[in-house]
Amino acid sequence: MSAALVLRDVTKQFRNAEHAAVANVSLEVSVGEVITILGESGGGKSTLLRLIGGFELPDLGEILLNGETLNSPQMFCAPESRGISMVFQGHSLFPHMTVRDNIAYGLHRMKSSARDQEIERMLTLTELSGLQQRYPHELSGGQQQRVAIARSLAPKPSVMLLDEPFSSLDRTLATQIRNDLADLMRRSGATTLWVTHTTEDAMAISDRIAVMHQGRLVQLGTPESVFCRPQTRYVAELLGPANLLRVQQQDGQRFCPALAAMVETELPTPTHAVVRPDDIVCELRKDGPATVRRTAFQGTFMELTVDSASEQVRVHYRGPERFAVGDSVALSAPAQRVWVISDPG
Amino acid sequence: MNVAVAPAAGYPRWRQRLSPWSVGAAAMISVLLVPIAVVALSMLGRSSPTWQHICDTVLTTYLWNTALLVAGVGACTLVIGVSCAWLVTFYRFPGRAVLSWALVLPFAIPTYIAAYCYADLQDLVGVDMMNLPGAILVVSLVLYPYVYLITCSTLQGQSGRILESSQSLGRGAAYSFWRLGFPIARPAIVGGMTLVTMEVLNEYGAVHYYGVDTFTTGIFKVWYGMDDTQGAMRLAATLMMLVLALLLLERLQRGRKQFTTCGSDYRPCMPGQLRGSVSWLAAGWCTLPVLLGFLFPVGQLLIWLKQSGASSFGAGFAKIAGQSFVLASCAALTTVIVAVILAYTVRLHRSRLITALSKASALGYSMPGAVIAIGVMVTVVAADRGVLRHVAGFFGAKPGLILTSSIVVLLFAYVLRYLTVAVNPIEAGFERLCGSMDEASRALGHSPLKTLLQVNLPLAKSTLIAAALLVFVDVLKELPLTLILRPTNFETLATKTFELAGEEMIAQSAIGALLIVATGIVPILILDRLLCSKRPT
Repeated sequence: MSAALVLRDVTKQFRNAEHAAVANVSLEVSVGEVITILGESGGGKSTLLRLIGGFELPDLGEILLNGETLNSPQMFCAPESRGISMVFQGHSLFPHMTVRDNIAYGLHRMKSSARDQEIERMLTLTELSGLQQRYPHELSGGQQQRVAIARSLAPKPSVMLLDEPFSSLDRTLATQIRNDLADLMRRSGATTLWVTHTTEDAMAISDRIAVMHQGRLVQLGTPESVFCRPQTRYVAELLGPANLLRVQQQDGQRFCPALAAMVETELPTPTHAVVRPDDIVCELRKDGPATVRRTAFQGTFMELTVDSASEQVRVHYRGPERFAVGDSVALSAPAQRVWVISDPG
Repeated sequence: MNVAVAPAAGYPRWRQRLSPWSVGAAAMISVLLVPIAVVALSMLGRSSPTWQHICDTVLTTYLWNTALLVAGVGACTLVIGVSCAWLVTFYRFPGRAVLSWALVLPFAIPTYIAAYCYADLQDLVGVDMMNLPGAILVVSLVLYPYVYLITCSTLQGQSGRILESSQSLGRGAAYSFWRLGFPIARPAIVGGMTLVTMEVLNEYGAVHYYGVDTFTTGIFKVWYGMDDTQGAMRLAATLMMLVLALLLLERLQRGRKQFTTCGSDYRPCMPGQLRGSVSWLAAGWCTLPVLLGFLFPVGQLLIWLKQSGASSFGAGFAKIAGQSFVLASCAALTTVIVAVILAYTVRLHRSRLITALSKASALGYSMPGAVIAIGVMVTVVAADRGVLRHVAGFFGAKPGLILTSSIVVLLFAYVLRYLTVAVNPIEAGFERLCGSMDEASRALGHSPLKTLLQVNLPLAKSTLIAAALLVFVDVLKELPLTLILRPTNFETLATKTFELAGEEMIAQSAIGALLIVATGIVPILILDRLLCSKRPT
């Protein structure tokens, strides 16, 4: 697959800001690919999207689309000439236009017959057929969402940008719409960059996840690789509950005291082993080296906090055993579920 | 997949910063600010003998009178405005609902009209109003709504929880207001008083009529009486420095403290019920400003109208009224167009320079009308004499003063003075109504101009109308600037009323004055709506 969108060392520093909103971000997005940009609020995700859309000017770096330069220190291409469309937080539907007029708004370069055909196609695709004469305020949140998507998809943009499209919807509704929308985007074959702070959304819909932290792109990969093989403590904890257990040198090998086990790694200076609470095996043992500190019933599992080698370890236990505070236990984890990182920070 | 190829019409980066919008807006503001710069620069020039004479003789009087007027009106408006706002916000008493908006009505009466109405008081009750204390009282009676309105909106914006927590700590309502409500509202109150002070410095008709010599009347005397441009410019420049110092002080007093109620804890406060004689006292206190500031002047005008009849204004009443309305409409339209271009460019570029220029355009509103008029006059005469003579000479025509004393110049001066009145609501309107909608339009392939026409303007329609109306009414009642810059024999309702009053024919001016007052009620209704929509719900 060829790269549709290319970012090279893109940097944006706002006045009076402590660190750059976007710092040296490089990224290649293939045609038809769906990438989510994941991170906490203030991490620079929205700014990156606005830079690609042309609503902010980068200080340094280049942005290219299908080989054409959109932004460089010398060049600029106006948002309306980029062929990139954007779905904003809160949709930004035009309240004084009907659903049909909203969708038609970006089709001004088409002949009217082609335009009508395209509108019909979008209405069918987004299942809005009966609603075309309604005004935005007469629609439900989910319908407004679909109008915003239809409006952006209609001009057949090279790239679709979505900025937290679900932030205004409640969680249950958001999950339903997210799945519908992901299907829609796949069917349309649009190259998509999707900003979210919800890990669950990112994992469910993306080909690749780009994790941003303090303006930097800290990791880029498939959902599975980012989840199972995080590069830093930040990524490990962002993607789900994680234990970060100390790793030390012992007899020329790497040893994790909390698990009382050797770990495999090729890193020259490993610092932590990342182990998800679901992957830790906890067994009652009279002379066990670890002690149960706290227990909390969570419905599908029991969350245990265990003191082991002066570290606290979270365990999600799904077995029949009933643990009590003060029980002696032994902890272990399958070697392939232990991932070692080097993050002195 | 089916991908439309990006047109990718890229262009060099500098062209993004120097778009037609940014260049146009910067050029507009720069031209507008020339007269103000001309006045400021006159301080550096050579001083004329008359100026020396002015310094030796009347300058101290001007300074002293102006200072007393500002201090007196400041004190009176503070007492009236804050006390009424406090009573209306925190207590229930008979007539409160009506009084809460009726207290704004004196806004509709221009100071000079109030002054004429009160001039007869000596005949009626034997009180001589034609002096400094009289001027202070009359001006205060129509300017206190600035303080009242702004205090009301701040007090109502404060969360009732603040006062409730004070009361739960064992403090009474009056003490709570003194220690909490008043200090929290302080920056807003000072802001309101700054506006009052600017109006006082701008004041010409009333002080002239009452024979109080202030800076503004001084400018007129030196300009027309002594025919000394330099001297008038210097007086104007001194007045300008006073205004700038005032603006600076106001900025400083706001400081770093945050005075807005934080977070989601907002809850409107429940007014307490006043009973017995106290409640009637409160009602009486709040009725007094409405009575003196609005009902009395309007009543007086109606009596005069009955005495002299509608035709007494002069044969040309319909002509003058029509002329005034057309002039004010043109000024409002031009101002709104300039304001839209400016507000949209600020939104489009968000560059430091454009934002600074848009802020600088507010200077016009804080400058007294006479200062602006002098600046515009001097600039235009220079332009006429210099630039146009060259142009005319090139074409072989006989040079004359083309621009001077033309309607175009008058319109230009109105735009300079009232631009901020339009820019503020329009900027807020774009921000509130358009969110990222104009960016959505850009992302769908429409140019900035088309976006403005199809998205921003239709959405901000009511804001545009409100802005235009505010400018319209301000222009309709404007006096000092119009007096100086109007073409010869061109009369507006305001100048004709002023002239008739000056010729001791006040009664004959009643119909014109009433028309000005009636239109003046319009922005009160708008303001009330704007304030209501700002309140948290």
